[in-house]
Formats: sequence, C-alpha cells, structure tokens
Amino acid sequence: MAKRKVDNQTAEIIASFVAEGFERLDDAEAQLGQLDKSCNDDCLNSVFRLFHSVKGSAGFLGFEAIKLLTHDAETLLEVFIKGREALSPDALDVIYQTIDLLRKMIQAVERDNNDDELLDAGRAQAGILRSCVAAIAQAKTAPAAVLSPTPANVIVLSELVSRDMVERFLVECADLVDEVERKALVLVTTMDSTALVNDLFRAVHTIKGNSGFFDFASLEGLCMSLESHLDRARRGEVPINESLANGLIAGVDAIRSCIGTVEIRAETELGQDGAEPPAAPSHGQAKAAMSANAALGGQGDFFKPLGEILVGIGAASEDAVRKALEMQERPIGEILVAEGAASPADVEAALVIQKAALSPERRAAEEVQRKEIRVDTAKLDKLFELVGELITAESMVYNSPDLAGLKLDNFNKAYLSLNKISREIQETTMMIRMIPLEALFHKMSRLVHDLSRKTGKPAEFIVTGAETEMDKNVIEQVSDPLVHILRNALDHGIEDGPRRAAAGKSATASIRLDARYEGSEIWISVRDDGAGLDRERILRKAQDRGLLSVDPETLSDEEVWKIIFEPGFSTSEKVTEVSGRGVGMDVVRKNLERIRGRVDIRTESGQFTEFVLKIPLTMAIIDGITLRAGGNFYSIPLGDILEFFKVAPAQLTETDRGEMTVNVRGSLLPLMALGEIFAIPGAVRDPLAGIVIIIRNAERRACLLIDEVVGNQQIVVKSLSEYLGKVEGISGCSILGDGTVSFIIDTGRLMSLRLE
Amino acid sequence: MAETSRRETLDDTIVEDDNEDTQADKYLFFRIGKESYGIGIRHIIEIIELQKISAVPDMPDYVKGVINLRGKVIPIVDLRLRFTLEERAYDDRTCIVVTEIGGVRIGFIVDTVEEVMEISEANIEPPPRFKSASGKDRYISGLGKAGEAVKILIDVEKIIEDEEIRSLVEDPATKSA
Repeated sequence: MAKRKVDNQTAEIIASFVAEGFERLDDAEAQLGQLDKSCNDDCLNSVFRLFHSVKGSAGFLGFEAIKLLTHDAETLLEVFIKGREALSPDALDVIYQTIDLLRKMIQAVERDNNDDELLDAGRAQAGILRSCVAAIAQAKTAPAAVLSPTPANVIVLSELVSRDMVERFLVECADLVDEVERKALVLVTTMDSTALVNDLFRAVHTIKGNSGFFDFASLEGLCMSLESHLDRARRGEVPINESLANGLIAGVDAIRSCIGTVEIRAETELGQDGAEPPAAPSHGQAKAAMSANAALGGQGDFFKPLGEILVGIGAASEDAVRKALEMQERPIGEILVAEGAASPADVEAALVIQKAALSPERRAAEEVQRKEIRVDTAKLDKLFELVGELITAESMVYNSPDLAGLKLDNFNKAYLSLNKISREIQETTMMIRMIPLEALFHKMSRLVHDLSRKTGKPAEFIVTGAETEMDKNVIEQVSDPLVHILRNALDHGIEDGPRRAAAGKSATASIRLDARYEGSEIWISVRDDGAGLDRERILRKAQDRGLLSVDPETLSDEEVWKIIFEPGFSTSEKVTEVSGRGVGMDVVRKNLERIRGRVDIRTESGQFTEFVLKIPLTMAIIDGITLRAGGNFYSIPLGDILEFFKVAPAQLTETDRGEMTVNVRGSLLPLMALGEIFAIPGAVRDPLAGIVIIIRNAERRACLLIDEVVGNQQIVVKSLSEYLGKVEGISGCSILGDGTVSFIIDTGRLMSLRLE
Repeated sequence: MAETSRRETLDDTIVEDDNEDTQADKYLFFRIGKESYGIGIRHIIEIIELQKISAVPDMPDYVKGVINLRGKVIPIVDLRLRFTLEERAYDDRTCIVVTEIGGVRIGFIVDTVEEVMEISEANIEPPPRFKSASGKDRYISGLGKAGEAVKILIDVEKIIEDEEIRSLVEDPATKSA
C-alpha cells in the first residue's frame, strides 16, 4: 500500500496517534491480564475506555478499519460491563485477537499513514466480535445499569471507577488542557488554521469522552460547549479568529479549575453525607473553590458561565442570555453587547468576576494535581552519567596527592558533608530510573494465558511482588529470560491432563511468578508445579550432544541442572521434542550474565521446578576490589572474590603441562596469572612473588595471580568505547580516585578463557 | 569507485554544514615521520599532551589502550602503528589528537602537531591509487596542495570503520570456544 501523502501537521497528529495507540493497547492488554484471575469491573471499564479513546482518534483521522474494529470491541465489552459479569474465556480470546490486529493496523498507519490494507481483516474480525455479542445476547438479556445522578464537580468512586483511574484521568486531562492552551495561543497568532482547530477539537473531545465515562457531568458539559464551538469553527460556520481563541483560553481556565477542585468521593460516603455541601472545609482545594464561589456571590457551582453571571448581577435578562447562547457564535459577552442586552461595561465587570473565580489561589491548587512528569530517558541517562562523573571527581579531589601530609581538619569536615550530599544525589538519581516490574509481569500474564490455551493445559498464573522496582535497563534484559522460562514451564514442565490426574494433582496447574528484594539483589522466581527436571534424561541428552566431558556420576544435581543452559543443549528440534526443558535456555544465562546476574534452579522430581533469577539492584555501581598487575589496574566485583593471600611454596603443584594448582585447605584450585592471560608487560608470573586471589563465578573457583591489592571501593561502571567493541574477560571500566582507568574483570569469562 | 563515493559524501557534509562554514575547508595538520597529515577540523575535539595510558588486553598493537579524559574513557590509537610505520619512542612533542566521529571519541597519537590551515577544495587532488595498498593509503581522502608543499588528508571515518579491528573484536565467543 502506498504511503499516503500528508502535510506536516497531519503527520504529527498521526505520529502521536500511533504512539498513543500502542500505549493504550499495551494498557488494555495489561488490564485484561488482571481479568484472568478475578472478575474485575475496573479492568473491563478501563479497557473499554482505552478502546473508546482509540476509536475517537481513529475516527477523527479517518482510519476506518481501526474505527470499525474498536467500535465492535466496545460493543462486546459493553455487554459484559452492563451485565456485571466476568468476561468469558472465548470473549477474552477474541478481544486479545482484536488487540493484536489493532496493533498491526497501527503499525500500518505508522508505515503508510493509513490502515486501508487491513480493512478486510478488520471487517472479518469485527464480524467475529459481532457474532460473539449475538451469542451472548441470545443467552440472556442483560439488565441495563442504572446510574444515579451525581452533584456537579464530584467524581463518585464506585465499583466501576477506582481512585487510581480517576487520578490518571485527571493527569491526562491536565496534559490535554495544556495542549489546548498552547494551541489556542498559537491560534491567536496564526489565524485561519483549520488543522489546529481539528487538533483542539480532538483534545477537547477526548476530555469530554473521558469525563463522560466518569460521570463527571460538570466537566463534560463544559467540554461539550467548547466542542460545539470548535465544531462550528471546523465546519467554517464560525470564523477562526481571536475571539474564538480567547473563548478557548477562558475555557481552558475553566477546565483547569474544574479538574483542580474536583472532589473524589467513595460511593458509600455519598450515601452517608450526601446532604452536606460538596466542599469539605478541611480540603484545601475545595476551600479554594469555596472562596472563589463566595467571590461570585453564588453558591454550589464551581464555575459560572459568563451569561449566568450577567444575569446574576442583573445586567442582562435571562431571555437575552438564552438567546445569545443559542447563537453561540461569538463570545457571549460580545453577543450581549451587540444585541444591546448588556452594556460593554457590564460585560467587563462580569468578566472581572469570572476571572476572580480563577484566582491564583485556585491555580496553585491545580498544581497539586500534577505529581509526575514525563522525561526523555536519554536525559536521565545523561544525568546518571554526570552523577557518576561527580562521584569520581569528588574522590579525585579528596585523594589529590597535593593534600598528602597536610593537616586538614576543616577540609575533611567539609568533604564529609559534600560526600553525604553527593551520595544522596546518586541514590536519588538511581531511584528515578527504577520502575515497577508491573508492566513486565502483565506481559507475562498474557503470555501464560496464550500458551495455556495453545497447549491445552489449564494454568493458574499467580503474580506477586509486581510492585518491586528495578532499573529500567535491567528490566529490558529480564524480559526474554522470563519468556523462555515460562514457555518451558508450560511446554515441558507441566504435565498433560491425564498425567496430572495420575499423579494426583489438580487439573489446573499453577505457575507462580514472584519478585522480591534479597539483600543487594532482586530475586525473580518462576515456579511451576509440574514434573520437575529429570536428571537421567538431561545427562543422556547431554551425552548425545557431546556436552559432557566428565563422568556424569561425579556431577552434583546443581551441576546437572546447569547443563540445560548450554547453547548446544537446545539447538536441535529433536532434542526439545523429546527431552525436558531446554528451548532457548542459553538466552536466559546470557542475558543474566550481561546484567551480572545469575540463575539458580531448584526442582523436585514430580513436584515442582523453580527458576530464581538473581539480579543485582543496579548495574551502574558495584563494590569492588581494585588490584594492580604490571602498570595496569583492574577491579573485581566484591561478590566474586572469596579471599586473597600470599602463596607458600608448599601449596603449589605443577602439572606435566606446566599448569599450576594451589592447595587451599585441601581443595586444589587452578592458578591463572592475570599478567599472562591479558599479556600485561611487567606483571608477575612467579606465584611466590605476587598475591593470589580466589575468584568464583557460579560454582567455579580459581586462583588468580596479581601483583598487589590496591583497595576496596565503590566503582562507577562505564562501558569501554564502542570503538574497542567487546573485550574478552572485561565487562567495563571505571575511573579510580586518582584518575587512572581500571578495567572491571568479568570473572566468569576470564575463567572460561583458561579453564574448561 | 570507492574513492569517489567517499569524496562525494565528504563534499556533501561540507556543503550541508552551512553554519560551520568557517570550519569547512580547515584542517589540523600533524606530523608522523617525514609526512604532514591533516584531519578536517570539525572532527577535532582537542589536543592534549601524552598521558598515562591503560593498556586494554587483546587489542591490535596500534590500540595503545584507554585514557581518562575528564571522566570520559576514550581509546587511544597510535597512528604511526596504524599506518604500519616503524614504532618510535614518545617524546615531549608527542601529542594526542582527540577526535569525535559519529559520536565516538578516539584519541590519535601523533609525532607532533603542526598547524591549522585552510585548503580549498580546488586545491585537493584525489589520492593516488597504487595497486598494493599498504597501510595508510586506504585512509587517504586526498592530497592537498599548500604552496609548494603537499599534505596528506586523512579520512578519519575510514580509520574507525576499519574491517581489521572489527574482525578482531566482533565475536569473542567464537574465539573462546
């Protein structure tokens, strides 16, 4: 399909539609994931709302296929919302499929600026949706939900509307209103811009749609009138001029005050103190609204249309205002003046009163609503990098050789407080990058749902610890491993129906996904109640594949489980079909190594298998030992070091091939000289001349010969230059207190360079 | 063919950088052995004196290691060795020319820095094409005439996007296997 030609402004609108669309679909999917476990009206409603928003913008932009599909999806959801019942599994599948198709459509839009090529697919899917609706309608007639009228400027929480949803809605509104204001201001300078008016219309329409959903009548009404104004301007019935823009800006202020002072109430509360005035005195925002209302001389309403004020102060008759309202082509003040129903001075006075309603006090109240801002991740990364440099620079100051031997009491005091602050900055910066695992876990819920349907193994997916926060970059690395582990759990771990029955297990398998903090690590575990790993089978397969180089009998269970992470273990189709687990498990290990994490397996034959991903809290700063070999400095993460000592001649044994082993309290460990591995000129090669460090990685241990240990410090991890690519045995570098560069040793890879 | 297309891209960037007019035809010249080489000034970040270099293991000999330049770790390449010339002891005139190409910073060790000079496009000849392209010939973007002298202009992108180092570092997994 050829790319549709669009002007720049439309292209921008489409781009934002695409971005929003993807986001909304992700959201919808996440909500549906929660549905899997419990019938939850909240979820259904927000999914409905998400579809509705997509429909609105698609309709506006003329994406027929998307509009069609979202419309029918809405209809289906509505049946369940009105019927107050859980989504049936079939319907859920259909909705999931619809989301997938919608995603394809939005991709098409992103590519071609239209979705025509998928119109047929959309029609087909819409047909499925409709037949789904028809099937349910046949089964029963759903009673219509009765909604009680609510007082103005109050959002009533109910089963359908959670506080969280309302808060999100308000933030969204604030964003949209900002947009309207910005565009309206542009409108003043560039007259006659139809695209701009379309933008404005869309934004206002979105607010209206959402407020309608929340039964937020006051805001809905406000937007409705703005919208009709804009609509007329859009159709060319009203000139796009300054008065329109001014009217809009006034509307923006009104909407702001409306969302700034809205009261969120629980349904029960409403029943109990429904007689009380809507504004509770203790509530800061409500108080502001009250004072504003007092200034107006009126009561109850938060924002009075100009016409009402004019009537209130007796400057215009109600009839005249109504007449003017019917015209609604110019700001009402202007009309009234033109009609002679009010004098310009009166209107001026009324406008002053209206402005008073939006006093600074109320504006301040609006600000409270905004709790979060969106920031480009590149900026965060930059900030993070700068903080790292700050820490390094600080330590360079403190360790400056110029200070050596001086009595520096005051300096040290000042340094300590500086150090405290910079550490705090560092921690805060790190926290900014931490996001909850929730989104990732939602994705997994969807995966398990799909796989469970596909494999025909009913499974209950229990998620805990989704609120655990992790570095954003780390989360990206964890996604793939989780997918592979879950896929394996369903494909191979969980037995089929008859076998489960034979083993006396319930027909519905259970898979637990859990995340929690453990010391300086985050543990993410996946546990299924399947058949467990089979030692014999793994060993047999490993032997067939030629992966075993030692006698299988000598291997501990843990060592056997590790075999499934070997790349060779899973490459062949045949192996995966007959053997237990093993699809793409090497990805699990590789990704975890990249973030300096590890994976442990616990399993009981016939009972369960549990994978525990152990991931360091942050990749950016590690505790490490710095050491020297030749003229170079190296750092090793503290967790990888067991001990260091000076070796005695009696501990050394040389094999026939010149390889050295060290006898450490009875265990013989291979000795590697760092200077030899990295070909460092001037580094010690004689074990007796240097220091020996016992390093470990997973189950392996080895002795590493170095020149000397320099110290223990926190090191800020930097990546080596792109130009150098990946250096074997080195995971990055860091700048030491004196400004020299030290290389961070990847102990696992280092051992792999020399040992089996 | 490859040479001409490279020239074209170079010309393109010069034409596009309207606001960098002042930099367009200017080159920083430095000396390695008997010859004078030039790098387009827009690639140059700064010139620093030689400092302690931490050697990175497993690198070709011309990659001397990395240095810490105000908190940034940048790799250092000895251009003399890169051009397969004979190694020579560093002295107090030895400099590091820090460049940035495509967001990647690299420092080049040169014998000594000479001057910044403008050479208009009209005075640049395409590089000679000898059959046996040894070392440096591949990185020459042209020969600049400045009065009597002939200066060698270097295409820094080529030095960086070289296939040699890529093959060395591309896939460490295969090496260790």
